[in-house]
Amino acid sequence: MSSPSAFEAHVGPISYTHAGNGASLTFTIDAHHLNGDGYIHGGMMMTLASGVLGELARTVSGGAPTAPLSVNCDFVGPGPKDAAVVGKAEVTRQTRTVLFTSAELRADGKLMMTATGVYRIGDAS
Amino acid sequence: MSAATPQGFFSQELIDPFEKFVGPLFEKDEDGQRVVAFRVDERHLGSDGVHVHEGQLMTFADASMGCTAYWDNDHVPCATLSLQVSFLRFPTLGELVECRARFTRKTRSILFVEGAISVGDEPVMSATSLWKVLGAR
Repeated sequence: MSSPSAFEAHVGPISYTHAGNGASLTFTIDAHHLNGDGYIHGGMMMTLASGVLGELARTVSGGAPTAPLSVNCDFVGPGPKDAAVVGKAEVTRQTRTVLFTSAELRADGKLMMTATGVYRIGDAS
Repeated sequence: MSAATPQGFFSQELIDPFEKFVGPLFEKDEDGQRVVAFRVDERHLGSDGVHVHEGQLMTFADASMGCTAYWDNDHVPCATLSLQVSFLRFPTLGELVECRARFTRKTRSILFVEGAISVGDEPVMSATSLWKVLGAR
């Protein structure tokens, strides 16, 4: 289930790791990830945020299918080309069917994005 | 990656390298309402190989609501401050995904933009966003 998606392979590489009840990622900002101003595009930033949140959801769901219900992203700061991005996600609350999560992304140590996501655990009905 | 332009649309001239990388994006005018669209192709798929990845959907929400924030505000440069989405149904390979966006409020320095994302008549995602008008205080 944690085979890389076509989309993340296309825009990546994105490297994920797990530790305890958290997930993290590393990523380097390349020329094709930028917006017209020369900083990482908001869409790529949100792809990274939802990527690490989704990886966390898969990690803690115990093999049950998961899907995002909502994701909220705040664009706190810019990410310049060649910056090393580190993302960390953690569980806020987990019920039998719903998972509340939060994440932050830093570019060369400076806060770039904060995000929260609500995930469904189990099949849609 | 070439993709046929859907009937009634034109292909947008994209500036941002990332939008070119995941595009193309299409546009049409519908009685004064800007409609921005993309077609789900193999590059956009999530890990199940059937449905579009949420990152591509949010990239599309940012790009399409950004068209309203920029083009419908006298071409004044702006930047995304915050973006919220709810995923109603994940579109599948080959589907044409459309966004109709509108201002819910405009101040001198902040724009509030709401987006309704659909496949045909079916809503698939709802989005809200906040934009900073660059240079304004």
